[in-house]
Parts: sequence; structure tokens; C-alpha cells
Amino acid sequence: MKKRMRLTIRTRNVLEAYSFLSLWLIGFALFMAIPLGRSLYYSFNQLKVTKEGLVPNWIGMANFRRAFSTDVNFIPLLQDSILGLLIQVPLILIFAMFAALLLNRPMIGRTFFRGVFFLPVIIASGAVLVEMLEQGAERMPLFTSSSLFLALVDIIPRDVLEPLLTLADKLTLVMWDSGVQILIFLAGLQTVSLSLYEAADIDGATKWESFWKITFPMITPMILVNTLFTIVNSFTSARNEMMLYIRDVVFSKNDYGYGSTIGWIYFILIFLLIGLVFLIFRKSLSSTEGRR
Amino acid sequence: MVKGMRMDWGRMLFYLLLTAFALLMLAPLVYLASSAFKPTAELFLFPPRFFVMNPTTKNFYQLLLVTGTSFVPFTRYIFNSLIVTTAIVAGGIFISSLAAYPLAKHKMPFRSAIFNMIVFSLMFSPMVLQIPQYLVISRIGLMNTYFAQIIPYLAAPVGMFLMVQFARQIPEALLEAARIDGANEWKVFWVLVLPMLQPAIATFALFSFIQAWNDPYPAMVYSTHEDMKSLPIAIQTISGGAGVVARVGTFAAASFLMIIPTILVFIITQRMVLQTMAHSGLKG
Repeated sequence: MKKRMRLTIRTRNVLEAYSFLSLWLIGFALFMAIPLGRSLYYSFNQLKVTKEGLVPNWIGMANFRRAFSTDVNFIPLLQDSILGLLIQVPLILIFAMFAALLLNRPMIGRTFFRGVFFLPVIIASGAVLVEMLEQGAERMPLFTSSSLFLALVDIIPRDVLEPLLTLADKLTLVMWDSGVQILIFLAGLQTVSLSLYEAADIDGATKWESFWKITFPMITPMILVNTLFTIVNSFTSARNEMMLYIRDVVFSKNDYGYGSTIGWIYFILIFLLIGLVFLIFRKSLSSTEGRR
Repeated sequence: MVKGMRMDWGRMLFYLLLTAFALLMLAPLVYLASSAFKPTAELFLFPPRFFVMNPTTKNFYQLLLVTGTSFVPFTRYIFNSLIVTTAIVAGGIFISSLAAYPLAKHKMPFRSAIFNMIVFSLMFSPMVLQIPQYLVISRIGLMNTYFAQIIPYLAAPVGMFLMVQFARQIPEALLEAARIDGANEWKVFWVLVLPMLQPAIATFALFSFIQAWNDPYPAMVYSTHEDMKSLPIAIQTISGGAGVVARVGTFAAASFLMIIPTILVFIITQRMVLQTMAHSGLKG
């Protein structure tokens, strides 16, 4: 007690703060920071499995060169996942916004509907859905393979129907992926004060106008959050082709050095993409800042 | 609550649209449930049907009694998964909330550096970290214990991020008042901060439960004994491998069983989760 009194309040504060943090910091250092640093180191190495465990052998940039020149899978996969993302992000954003607007209206059973819209997140994030979508015999009959096809094929020509149903399938997958985004938009919508709408209404604005002049600018920060979330989520999800490839390289081919290299290239790419998103949003964000 | 509930055309259309979306959202769950009760003949119908026609519980019998996977009973996998997941959720909540409080409310050196590190690690693919993590675990000598499957996941950056964002909104004056009244930091945390973090805790509990419950890797990587494996692995073994055709029904039943706890946790935390999102630190 005596010794403690001699410390200034400031140092005491810092000490207390760190004692609260310590448990987490230890865990983070051991299982996130150190492995991260190691994998960066390994990406410049070739790892050999010997009796003493993994032995790194420094080969400089060779792994990086290999990724961009000799590896036939890497570049196409990279293109695919980025292209897929460019399509997926706007789709998810639009659907999530739409659903959030629907769910934000006063109605019977609102809690129920909100719950239902969030439900796919719970199932989709698991291994179960992955298996479900991949299983041959037990493939989930969405639109393409269901009896709906047989029923509609008499009315609509097959050439039109087939792509239409495939599209519906894809859209359904998008919908299942947007539970969290819907919630984030809902959160944003609830921070917009009702008096703004009232004022607009009195001034004779239509619903359509007040959406574009009030709602949309007010939830721009949420659009940013959602874009970031969608990017990170789809890049790190277990269904991502690139992730599967990395897993394959690391665990099936046991080529750990090269696996970390791809991992880091991929990571840097996400980082650049996120930076780009920030740049795009910077202007619109600073303009909303004053209105709040 | 709702004023003027007239059923005009616009409103009808609105409910119709909403119900259509809701049905699509419910589809995977319903399909999962109905497959679990399908007899073998129906599972292989072409074109596959969405709903079950002659429900049977044979799949569940096979799963629990015959098991088919190996000499380890299916209940053992359930037990393993339950222990590991509960520990990860409880421990993760405790450690993250404890750390989130000073990170949000105390002025100290390296504060923003630590926070940036959290955000940074959120973006990194977990796959690449697996082997270094494995090396750490095997060096500490925790292989084939429950601890090996639990400890690496306790200091989760996701939960930390969420809780810090949420804790920032606790009014400073409240904490100040408690300190003036003579509460020490531990008491401030326990009596004030923790209850106020509750919505964030519920959200994190749900997410980390889903994550831990469904993740096959820890048990795959950190244990070599069959009786330490977890449910997701058991499901993968059922669905893959040589006897795939025979086990489609068992697989459906196992998947269905596996989803149930997640849904229960969702129902429990649901109100809080929706609330957190509604006024969480997303604004910050």
C-alpha cells in the first residue's frame, strides 16, 4: 500500500489498464502476432519437413516470383475472386439496403421478420451449408433443379428459363450472405431522426425524394462499413476459392512456405482494395459529417 | 403500436414481398430439416424434392446407434464440441471485455497501436496462421488436450473490436462518479462496464459460438486421437469417404442436429444482438 501511494495517478492508471489488458495481449501475441510474423518470414523460405520439425531455408523472393510466373492456378483464381467480389458487393449492398428499408417500416411481426432475415447467417457460416451446396446426390434443390423447372418449362421456353433460374439461384445465395449487412443498415436507419422526414414531408417531398435526399446521405457511413465488411467477409470465408487453394497448398501439398506467400499476396491485395474503398468514400463521408 | 393498419393494396404488396423474401431466407433451414427425416428412397429422388413425403426417424437411429463413422460413439463428438465451444465462448467474453474496457476508456501508451493491430489482424486469412499456431501449441506441449482447441481462440480480434467500439459509448461521467465514490478499477469494470456491455457480449457470444461450433480445424490440427475430435469433423467423415452413398441420410440427420444448438443460441441472444446492431459503436 505504501509503495503504491508513491506512484503518480497517471502511472497507476496505465499500470491498471495494462493489467486488464494483459491476458488478452498474451493470447493475441502468442496466437496472432507471432504466427503472423512467422508466416511473413516463412513466405521468403522454403520449408522442409525433417525429424527436427520444419526447417526454413532462405530463398528470397523466389516464392513470390513463382506465384506470378510459374503457378498456373494462382493468377486465374485471383482474377476470379476479385471479379466475383466486384459483382457480389453491389448486389449484397442493394439487397441489404432494400431489405433494411422494408424491415424498418412499422408492421406486424417485425421482430420475427428481422430474425428470419438474419437466420441464414447462422447456417451459412457453417460447414453444413458448404456441404449442402456441394453434395452431389443431396444437392439443395433451389430453383434450377427443383420441380419448379418442370412446371414452368411448358409456359416459358427452355432457353429463357434456364438462365433465369440460374440467376435466381445466384441471387438467393446473395440474399443468404447479407444478414449482417441488413442489420448494419437497420442500425443506420434508426439513427436518422424522424423530424427530418417530417420536415421534408411538410415541404412536399415525395417518399422517393426523401429517400435520396435524406436516407441515402445519412447512411453513407453504413454503406462504407458494409462494403468493408463484405470485402473482408468474402475474402476470408471458407467458401472462397482462394482460401481453398491456400488450404490445399498448405495441408495437402505440405508446401508451407509457398502457402504463406500466397496468403500474404492475397492479404496485401485486400489491403489495397480496402484503401481504395476508403478513398472513394472519403469525399462523401466528409460531406455528411457536418449534417449530423 | 402500429397506427391505421388498413389493409390497402400497397400494404398487401409489401407483406407479400416480405413473406416471399422470408420464405427464401428460411429455405436452407427447412430443407435441412426435411432432408433429415427423408427415407433413403426419397433422398435420391430425381428431380429432388424440397419437402419430405413419408417422414422417418431412421436416419437419427442410424446416426446415434450404428454411428457408422468409427468406434467412437457419436455422443462423444457432441460432448467434445460442447466443452470446447462453451469454454471458448465464456473465456473469450471474459478476456475480451476485460481488455476492451481500458482500451476504450483509459489513456495509455500504445493504445491506438494495439487497436490498429486488432483491425489489421481481422483482415488476415486464418488459414495461413494455422501452422505457426500449431508450432506454438506443440511447443507448449498441449497437443491432444482440450486446452489446445480452446486457448488459441480466446483472444479473438473480432470480439475485441466489437466490445471496444461499444465500450467507447459508455459515458465518462458515469465512470468518474463511481471512482469518486471510491470504487476501484476492478469494481468499476464489474459493476458498471460489464452490465453496460451486455448487448455487445450477446452479439459476440452468438458469433463466437457459431464460429467455434462449426470450425473443424482445431480438432483436426491439434489432436490425433479419434476421441478428441469434434462434431464438424464427424460430419465431414460421414459425408465424405468411401461409403458416401449409404450415409446421405445419416449426414442429413447429423447436419440437422448440429444446427439446433446454434438456433437455440440465436433465439436466446437474438433480442440483444438486434439491439447492439441498432445502436452499437458502428457510428464510431
